[in-house]
Amino acid sequence: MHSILLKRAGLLTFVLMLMAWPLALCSQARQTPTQAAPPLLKDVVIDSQQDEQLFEELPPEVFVNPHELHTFVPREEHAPLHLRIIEFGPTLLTKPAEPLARTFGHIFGGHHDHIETELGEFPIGIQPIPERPSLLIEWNEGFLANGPLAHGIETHTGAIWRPALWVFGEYRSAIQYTDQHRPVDPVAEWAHRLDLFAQVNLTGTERVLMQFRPFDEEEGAVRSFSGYDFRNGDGFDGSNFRFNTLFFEGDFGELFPRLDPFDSLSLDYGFAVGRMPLLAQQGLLINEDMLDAITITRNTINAGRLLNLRATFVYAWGNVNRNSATQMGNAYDSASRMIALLTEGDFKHSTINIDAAYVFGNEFGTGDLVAFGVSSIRRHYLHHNTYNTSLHLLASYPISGRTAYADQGELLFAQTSWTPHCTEDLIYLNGFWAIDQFTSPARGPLAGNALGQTGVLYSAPGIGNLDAPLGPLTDNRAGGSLGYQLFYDHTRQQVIFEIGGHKETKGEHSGALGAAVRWQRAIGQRYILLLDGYTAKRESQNTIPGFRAELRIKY
Amino acid sequence: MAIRVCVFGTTAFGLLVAILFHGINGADSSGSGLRVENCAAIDPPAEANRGNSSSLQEPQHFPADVDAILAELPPGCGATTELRATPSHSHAEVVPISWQQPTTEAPHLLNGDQTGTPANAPHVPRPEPLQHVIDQAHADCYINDPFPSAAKCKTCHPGHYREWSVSPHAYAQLSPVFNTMYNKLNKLNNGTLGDFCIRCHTPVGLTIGEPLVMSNMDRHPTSREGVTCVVCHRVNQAWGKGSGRRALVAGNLNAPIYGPTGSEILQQVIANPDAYGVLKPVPNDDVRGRDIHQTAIPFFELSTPGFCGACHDVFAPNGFRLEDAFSEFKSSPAAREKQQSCQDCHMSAQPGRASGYRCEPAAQVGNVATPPRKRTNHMIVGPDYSIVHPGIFPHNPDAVREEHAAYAADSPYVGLATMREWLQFDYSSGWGTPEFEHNIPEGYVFPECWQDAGRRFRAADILRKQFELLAEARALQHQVLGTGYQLGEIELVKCDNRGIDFRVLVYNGTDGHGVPTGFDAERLVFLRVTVVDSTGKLVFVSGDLDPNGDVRDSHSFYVHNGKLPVDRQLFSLQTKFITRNVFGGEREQILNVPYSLDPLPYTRPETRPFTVLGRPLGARKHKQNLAANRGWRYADYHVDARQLTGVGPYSAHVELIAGMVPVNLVHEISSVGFDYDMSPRQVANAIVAGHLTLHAREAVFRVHER
Repeated sequence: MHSILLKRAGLLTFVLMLMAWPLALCSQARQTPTQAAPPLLKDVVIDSQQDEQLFEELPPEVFVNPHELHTFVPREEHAPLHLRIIEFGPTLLTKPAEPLARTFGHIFGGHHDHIETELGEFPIGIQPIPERPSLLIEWNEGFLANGPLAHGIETHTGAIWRPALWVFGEYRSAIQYTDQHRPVDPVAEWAHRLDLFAQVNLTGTERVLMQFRPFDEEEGAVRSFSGYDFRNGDGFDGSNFRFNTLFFEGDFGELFPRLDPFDSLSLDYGFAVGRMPLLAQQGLLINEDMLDAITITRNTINAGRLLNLRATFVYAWGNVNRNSATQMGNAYDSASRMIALLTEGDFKHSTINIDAAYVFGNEFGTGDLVAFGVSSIRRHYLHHNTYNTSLHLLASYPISGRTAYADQGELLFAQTSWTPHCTEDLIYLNGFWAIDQFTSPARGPLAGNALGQTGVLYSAPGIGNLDAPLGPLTDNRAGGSLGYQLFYDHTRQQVIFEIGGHKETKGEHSGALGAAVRWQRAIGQRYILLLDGYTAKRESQNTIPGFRAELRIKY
Repeated sequence: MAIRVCVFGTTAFGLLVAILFHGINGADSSGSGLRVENCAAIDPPAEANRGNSSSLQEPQHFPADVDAILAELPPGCGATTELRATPSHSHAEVVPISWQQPTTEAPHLLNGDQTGTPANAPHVPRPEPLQHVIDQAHADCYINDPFPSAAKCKTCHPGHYREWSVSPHAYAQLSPVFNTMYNKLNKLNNGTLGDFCIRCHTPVGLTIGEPLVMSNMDRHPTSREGVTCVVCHRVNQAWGKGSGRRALVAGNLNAPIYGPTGSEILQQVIANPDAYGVLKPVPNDDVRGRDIHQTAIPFFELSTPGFCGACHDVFAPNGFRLEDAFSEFKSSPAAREKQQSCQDCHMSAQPGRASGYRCEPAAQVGNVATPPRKRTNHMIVGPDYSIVHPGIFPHNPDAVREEHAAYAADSPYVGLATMREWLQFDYSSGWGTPEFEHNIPEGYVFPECWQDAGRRFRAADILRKQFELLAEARALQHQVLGTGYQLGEIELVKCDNRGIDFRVLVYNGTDGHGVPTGFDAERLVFLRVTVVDSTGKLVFVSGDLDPNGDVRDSHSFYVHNGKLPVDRQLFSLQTKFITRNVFGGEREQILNVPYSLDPLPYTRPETRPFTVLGRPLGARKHKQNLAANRGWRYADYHVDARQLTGVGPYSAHVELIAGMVPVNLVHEISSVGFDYDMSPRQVANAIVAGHLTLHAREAVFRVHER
């Protein structure tokens, strides 16, 4: 009985999600400007001649260059009490930013980025710009390269293709240590990862993309990386030549231009088919790096005050990794299939995402699951500063009974950030509240759990055998982080300082606190050096130390 | 216990702040106490804004190597003979460029702006390898002339040339704001942006291999002409949405061109020397006559929206949809219901409306006009306007003379002064006018190149014509933008003891695309609202400018640095670039480079399907424009009771203003320098001076005590 109710609730939710946008559009359409306008009072009428005189009496400068107006600050602009109250907290949290910036600047010898208010008065001439760093392979046409362009090949459909092959990627090498009191700990390793991409470019909209990760391989629910284990002196081998990504992407209207020679049929549907990464709700809902799927996308849908709506339908038939709220690691489910609808639209103040996914589980206990996410991302222009916020509400419902990989739960995730005056810096304050056991429909083995967006302490490095220091499961838990990202040397050197923690809301009420520092610096046009240090303390456990040093090379 | 308190404290505070912010709305209250009466409206005439701104050669792909061109040229071609005598690799024989070093003694300033610094700053010589690349590209181009300048087309198509010369297409590469923005983006992306952006702005320059970063004053004439004749009429394949990466068909003036109608009239002209004189469809130095293209090959796609979409639907290889004007058009009623094209409105007899086309001669061969036919308007005005010296733009071969002596003989630009010399001509002080010339102050020093009074008179005469053309374009710009943006009446919402609430409707007057469209993330269209009391005292303002010339939005550096409050009631249609933060969601940035995510931002092909999200993970646009077909939005205003000075009456004035770009963009990009030795302040002042008031409304509120 319980499962039937859950199933019906899940299906109902899914249907409601599908209907959400049309309903929203209808509500927008109902409010036409004519209907919304209030009646005008008509007991005083100014004749048009007077209007003309008013207009003509204004000096022309008023229309083109009213610099003098800037000196007038209307009374209304003085901060109202409620704004001052709301901004009290952020203002207080901004106070440590400057001493932190100074301290780290002294430590790393960086010049803290400062933004001047006034425009420069003197010309400095055209300054040199770095040369284009080449890709590993550029065949037939350089990637965004200067020089003549070759003529294209006309296909039978009328499309003009100019094939080119571009090979590029990123190499990562990290020495890292942690002791998180897991069976495999302490970890002291040197791990390697190479993301190698090959793109066969056909047009601006059509391409085939392949990805190899020759130094690490997905083995079920984990990835093993080539490297060296300092603890026992063994090397490990993750070498392989498996396709991690292989998909074709295009635009239907561009593939078949002869179907619409006058461009009046609006056939521009984007699509992708093959093995691909997929992300929804900034990775909170879906975060897969290897999914066999087909996607169909419609862009630039406008209705009333809803602008630029994008809707994508996804059908995945293989390589779905299932997430659990209660067990570490995500499980590979070879038989799972997934359908999803991902939408995003712009309103006057906000960008709204409404996403829904339904997973058909296998027969061996992963179970069917419906999950959805709604988010609102906006900026708030208060008196003292501009505050960026994003609010995500996610929920999952099992359809064929609760399992470790199909469970019921909700996740409320909020992010707030702002930039102190005269800087590029960022202060962020993130929080989450997981009610029951929220389960992502699809989550790759390296993606960690849904809360990686919370901060450095919650995110897995994506290389080697390290988990996030605080990486909590999404079962009845609340937590947050407060961090400062400081920019030096024209943003090429950065420091992140963060504190965070979480606490169970049910059961043992165990919790954890931690602090982390990240320093990263760009060197030349290809290299990034990154250092992470953190410490965390979980209740009833010893302190968790951690250190990472990573070199990234971009091609 | 401590952990519990800290954790819940952080969590609760974070959630509380986010939820509180999501709940905040604009001022909204009800009640009564004061009463307000009525309003009315006016629209400024277009004139109000005028003058505010200061052998049948086969089509061939152009190879970089001149030898390849030699091999493909037909036998008997005079140029070929000459070329074979001068091998392409013997470029050392080309006379070295003799840079004309501007004098540093002249006291006068660019554009006469007394706040700027001298335009004649010393020119820094280029590194030798770079200079060699430039020389090679120019030598190849001058010798073979594979991409003729528009100034050569002008000979037979003076009408087309006149319209084009003042168009945004002609300005595309000359724009100092564009070049600096591109350079800054490329620098922030560590050079990985490559030719993105500039490929559309100077397709010829990149095809001939000019460096990405150089002054326009040193570019080949056809290169600095930007989107010139050959950029559209030497394209023979329907490239689709390719962000401007179209191959150009190389060929000299005699080579075929591509047009919508074909060659019928052209062949009649060539076959009638009695009427049109001797025409040379094949180069032949032994025959005196006028060079002409042999044929006009019909290219249907040239007249379709998709042809425009090749450059006006811009998405980067990383999936960032920078511009989507063509996508907007394809889903608009103009395309789907009326089957109209971009050209129907933007190249029509009355630009801004699908008003049909003129029927006029397409060419003037000698003194004889060719038979009339459909004639499109090539001015194609848009939101951009020139901020460079009027001697440089509009393009004018009578004004500009080629600077480099080695190339001057082949260049059609044989005008009065070089571009660098024009930058020293202080027209704002009245040089060349009788008023100035008859009253030159004692000791007044002119730059060496402008010491001749006769030359100054000729320059002033040229500038008069330039200003006339600019004013014509300005009026047309007012017409087009004024059609696209519509302003409703001022409507009273309520009046009570909290103050006066009123609103005004802004809506899209077109059914072909949103407004703004295209580069909407850097198009500033806003309302300036002032309310004055009966004594003329200003009691309310929104849409005013900070000392830099910015509206007081969050991008204003005065607002960002806490020196002026944000204009919370500002109505702006500017779309915003949003970049992802490493943590803490997303934030607005003036430029769309997500350096919070990565200290070494790179532009590479997107590694996931970019169609799914319609953007890369690190950056996107939050569109704020008005959708096609009467997309609308109310601008709501609240004048607080504390701001009122009595019973009034109060006069509200609302203007809908269109600017080319916001000044904060100038500030943001200024660290890589502007061309023409312009300072950021000069650029900003010129941009603000070009703000165009499209519509205005007046209302009078009479407030009575109850």
